[in-house]
Amino acid sequence: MTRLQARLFVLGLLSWFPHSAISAQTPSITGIVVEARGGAPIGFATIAIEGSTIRVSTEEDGRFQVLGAPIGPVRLRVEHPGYRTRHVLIGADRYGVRIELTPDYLDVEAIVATGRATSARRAVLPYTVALLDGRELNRVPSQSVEQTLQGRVAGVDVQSNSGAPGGGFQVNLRGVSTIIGSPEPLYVVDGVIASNIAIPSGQNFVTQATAGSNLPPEQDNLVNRITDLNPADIEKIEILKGPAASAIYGSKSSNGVILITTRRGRQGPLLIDVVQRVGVHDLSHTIGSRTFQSVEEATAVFGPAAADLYRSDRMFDQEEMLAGRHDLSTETQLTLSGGIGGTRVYASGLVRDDEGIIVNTGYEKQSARINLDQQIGNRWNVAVRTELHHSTASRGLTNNDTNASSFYVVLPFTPSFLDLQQQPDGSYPVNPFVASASNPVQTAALMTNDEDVWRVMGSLRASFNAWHSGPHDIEVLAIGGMDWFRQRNDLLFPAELHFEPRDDGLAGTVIRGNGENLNRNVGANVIHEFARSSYSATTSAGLQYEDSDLEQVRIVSEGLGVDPSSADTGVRTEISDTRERVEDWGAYVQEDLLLMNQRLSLIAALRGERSSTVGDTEEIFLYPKLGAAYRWELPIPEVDAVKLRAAYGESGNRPRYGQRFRQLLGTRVLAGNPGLTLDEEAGNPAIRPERAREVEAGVDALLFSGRAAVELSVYQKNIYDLLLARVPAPSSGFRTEFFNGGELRVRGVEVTLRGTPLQTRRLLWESLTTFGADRSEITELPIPAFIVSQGFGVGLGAFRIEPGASATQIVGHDGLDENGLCCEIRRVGDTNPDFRVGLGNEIRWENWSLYGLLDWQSGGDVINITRFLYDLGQNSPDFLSGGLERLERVGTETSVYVEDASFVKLRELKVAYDFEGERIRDWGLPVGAIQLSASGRNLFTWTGYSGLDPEVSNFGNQPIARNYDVAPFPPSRSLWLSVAVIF
Amino acid sequence: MAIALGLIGSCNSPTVPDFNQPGLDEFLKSPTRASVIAAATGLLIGAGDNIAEAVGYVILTGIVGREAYFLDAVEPRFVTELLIGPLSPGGPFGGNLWNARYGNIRNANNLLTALDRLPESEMTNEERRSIQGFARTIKALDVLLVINTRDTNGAPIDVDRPLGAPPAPIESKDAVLEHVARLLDEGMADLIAGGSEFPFPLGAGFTGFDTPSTFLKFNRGLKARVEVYRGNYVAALAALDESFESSGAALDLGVYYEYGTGSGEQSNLLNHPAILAHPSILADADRKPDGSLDDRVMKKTAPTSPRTLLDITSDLDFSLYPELGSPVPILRNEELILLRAEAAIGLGDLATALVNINAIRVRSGGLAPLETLDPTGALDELLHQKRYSLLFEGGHRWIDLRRYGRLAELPLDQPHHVVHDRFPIPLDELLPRD
Repeated sequence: MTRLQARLFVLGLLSWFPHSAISAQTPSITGIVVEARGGAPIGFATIAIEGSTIRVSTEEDGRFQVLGAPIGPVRLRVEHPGYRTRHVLIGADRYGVRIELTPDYLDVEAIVATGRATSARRAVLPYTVALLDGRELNRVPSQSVEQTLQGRVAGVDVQSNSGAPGGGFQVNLRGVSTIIGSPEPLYVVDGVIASNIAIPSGQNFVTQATAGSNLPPEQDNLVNRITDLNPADIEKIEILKGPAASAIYGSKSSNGVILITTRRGRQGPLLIDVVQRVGVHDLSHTIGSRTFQSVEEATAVFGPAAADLYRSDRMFDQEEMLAGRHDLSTETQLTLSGGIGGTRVYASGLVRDDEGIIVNTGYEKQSARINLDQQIGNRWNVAVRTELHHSTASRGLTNNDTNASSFYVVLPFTPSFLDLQQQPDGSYPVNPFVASASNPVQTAALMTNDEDVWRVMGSLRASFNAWHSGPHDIEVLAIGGMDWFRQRNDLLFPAELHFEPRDDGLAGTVIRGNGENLNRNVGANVIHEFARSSYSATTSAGLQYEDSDLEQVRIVSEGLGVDPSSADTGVRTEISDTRERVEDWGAYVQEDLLLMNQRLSLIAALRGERSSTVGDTEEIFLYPKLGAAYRWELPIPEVDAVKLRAAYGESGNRPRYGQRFRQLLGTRVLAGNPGLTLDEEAGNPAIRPERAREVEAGVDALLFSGRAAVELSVYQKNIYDLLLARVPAPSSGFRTEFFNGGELRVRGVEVTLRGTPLQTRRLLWESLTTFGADRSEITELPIPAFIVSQGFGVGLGAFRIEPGASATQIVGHDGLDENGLCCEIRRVGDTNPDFRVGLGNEIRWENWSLYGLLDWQSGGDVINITRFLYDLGQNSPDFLSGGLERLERVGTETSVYVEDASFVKLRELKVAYDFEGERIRDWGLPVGAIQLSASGRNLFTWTGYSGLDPEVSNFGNQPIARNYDVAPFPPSRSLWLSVAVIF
Repeated sequence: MAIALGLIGSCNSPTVPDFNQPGLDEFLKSPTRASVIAAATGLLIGAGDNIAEAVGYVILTGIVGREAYFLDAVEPRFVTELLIGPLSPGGPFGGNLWNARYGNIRNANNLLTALDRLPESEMTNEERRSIQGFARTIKALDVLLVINTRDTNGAPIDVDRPLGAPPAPIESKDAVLEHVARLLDEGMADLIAGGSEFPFPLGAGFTGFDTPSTFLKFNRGLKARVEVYRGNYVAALAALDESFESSGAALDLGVYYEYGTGSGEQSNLLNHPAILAHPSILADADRKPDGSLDDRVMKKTAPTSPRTLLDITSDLDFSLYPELGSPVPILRNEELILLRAEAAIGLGDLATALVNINAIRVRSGGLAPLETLDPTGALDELLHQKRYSLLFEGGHRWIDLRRYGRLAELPLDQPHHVVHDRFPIPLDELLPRD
């Protein structure tokens, strides 16, 4: 029996002492709280005497004293964030007590949210809540907060849509949960809903990837705006993966909820932390192209024009020419943190300048944050959170295109013997091999595609301890906040671009987009806590109002006069303006019970909502949740504690704005006269939210004296009343009608293993392994099987929703049918991976530390249309040995372009050396600590995939139609050298 | 919880209006003069949809009728599907040329419904009849374009049903053409009772045909085309007599789809660099007395640098639609003159046919007039003139050859190429019927 187990055993006995044995006399206890490894004092730790209401905290030097402690043996509960909570039995020796705390490497003691206004220790939770602390997220610089989640959490699949700078990531929690609804999880930052919408740049007007003005330009390589958050400001992220955990967020939460808490000032003198980074981005993969051995071979493919250009001794690596830039990127971070008395301040500033691998691309970001916490008297606490953000992302011209303007749509048809580089006279060669004459190197050099964002987020949280008497505590908590941003898109394709006059007969295109969104939240909560030493009951209730208002205005102007051109100089103009406003009211009650000395935990909650997005705005939709967990602290070898848990919850996914309206289009004009025409997309005045019901069960165990923790969860989600688009016979004039129906089931399993395999005074090895797998099935569909609208037809691989099949299956041609006609249509793939594994390891040896994070996706498929384009251009690197055959087969065998997306990526790697304390003081520097580090993101990818990157989505964030590889922005790795100084 | 729910229940219901577009139900239930007029303009806008797009009526029927190519490696389906085949009923090629037409038929039906419910004070009876006549004529044009591409596959007629009702049955080609003829006749009656002016502007495409009485001449011209298609040559001649057919008037006199470049305007995209003319246009052209090519070839095509895709090469471009605002003909005097010749041939009146064919040969082609027309060669000559006169204006060659069972005369670039005789009924149209 280890020391800890012995202690727990003693404590177990102790808890049988009758409470009456504790009398009310008042001797004091004094002592010090220190870190077990190294013995450094721990300030501001909380010490509570169990069975009483006495709580004190340690001073900065770790010392504490307790007045009025009961006589006889008492049990202290010592807590500090980031350390494992300790229960210490104090016997006769009450002075100079030394309490050692072990860092909670495994986060089992961490406090996570259980509701809108309540929280609990993870150790007693009836469902899983993934928790990431800021330290984990900021080891390696990232452009986007989603990037920092990759490979870290079981059941959380974060995929980049392309390599373009400035974001564009999809976060999927527990697989697919909608067919045509929003696939986005709900992001709540400091209690306020943060917008994660994506506003198209408008590049579609040049690429014409989505023909027809009625369709959303979803192939614009969109950026979802949660990317704006500065990862360095994040204290922790809690992830509620499914309805069993997220029900209290109602109809916005069937895709899960991501709660982000930004840092608050630490108690104590001001710490100033400065980080300076210098880095570089490097094209990490190219496709290559065919080598032509003779002029005959070249002219056979490219016609007589090739004869003038072909030289056997001349080959150009056009991908390198386009995307081989290595300009230096920099990042400067400054944070201030401190607090005295009842005031705590955290402030930060960030200036980042990422230079992209393609000329004229990159991401510049500046942000500032001030977080203020103020205690007013004994009863009031006020917290203010404010962030100001500005960024400019320059994203090139990538993704699908029908005008041959997008970089990787042109390259497949451009032979390696064509020089695309700028010539000494300043001109760029015309590309005679595409109808548009487009030269991607010229396009990149002369075009502009800038996305400029200003954003302000702020929240105010005021809590009032209204009543305290004996075991009762009543707190009133009010939270209000807003999130405003303005996204400006400036696109310029000057008249001199070779493709410009050819795409539409008009030279030069300018696009100005302005998107503005305001989210507002107000909420009030009342929390009643009833606590006895062996049980507690927390009742909370609240009311919320949440709205959002988005307006998008865009002007497209083609056929420009002289540069510089504003949007009123063109010959042909197109103006669009849309507004979407949503209002929601919600209320909830919740009961959190901790019984039997915190062994049994019960949570029940019910939320009711009304929303402007549904057909009947009077209707109140209810979302219940129930959960129970029982924890054994076991005195058996190698197992410290085991928890069994089960939970059930329901949540929803609102219809999108406009899905309840049946409208005419008033946007069209003939000869200066406005016309009314049919909107072929019919809304439904009876539309409702989708409803997800989830059952989750699991076992958590703490093993080997707290050296390892295992979490095992299984879940089943059933999503009813799916938002679907019925396709009426088009002879009705309508193309789609929205309605609710059908059912989708997702089953999955998640395993998380955290541990400290080695833990000595000099060496610490922390390890994290995650495993997640899920399978979906359409269990009911009230309409015929259908192909989702994003895609390029069944022949190239399409997503078919059909009963009994996986929701993310890819179907395609699979040989001739029995009549010898083209073709049998069968499943040829699935975007859903078989499983995902994350492996994170950090080894700290004295002042050195080494960290690595591997992300392994096994299975899943990509529809590689970029490869198809290269084959069509007879220009793929393996054209003669493979491409020709693929082309011959694709007519009847879609599978030739459906490729396995398995990969292993080294997401993060960091080597650091810390200079601490005396050594620096010896140098006479006025600093507390210095860290030097070298780090990299996505340094290596191991994959059999032939394209640029198996992480790809031409259509951006999609619930179903992901993994279309169509001329994406090429991927890059980034490498950084950093100096961090703490003053 | 009850209290909390009571709280949200007592708040005003969170109703947000449609900020962006007018409501359909409102238009149908309580139309106004302004909304009806806007819907009439909308019907004209809808008529031009999917005609001059890069994947629209003119290009797709032009390709299957071997008048045009679209040669761009980025989108090979213009070749693989339209020339090599088969046409895919679920895709944007084989399944095209349907939705926009029926969308506009719904526009016409909505307009007719709204007119019935428009309060009397809003519009005079003559104005109503004029709009009804306009709506029925445009609807007839849309139905005709549907059956032109679907031919013996048929098409639904009775489509004015509420959303969610079972789809209309698919009727035979003959029934559809009869429906078109009937709509035109009903439209004629409306237009005759429609007073002297339309209460809405018809735009530049209808210059000269923008009053009920002149629009009627377009209606009759369309009727003549339909009756020729149906083989009712006597009825065709009767309709021609009431149309704007005139041997003295300009051959380009007629009505056009109008395109523009302003915000909300549809543009003509047929000047796409990948759109090329079929080399047989040059090879098959007649020569003028001085040995030079038919004027129509010189006017409508121009040489360009060669483009190749999948073993097809062309170095001939169209010069018919140079601008984004170039109009596309709906019906021109030139066609009407040829329709008179065609009806005459059908009735065995070769003398009349000769006069009209020669009028086109001389005026449009700069060719020498023919001296005689023999019974066996008359149809060949007519189809040849129609081919050059109506080149790339909406699949006339393909439709005409099909009507006479002569699709096999179309040239194949490669032995494995095929000539499609009709487009399939789109998959989406069939699925709800399974």
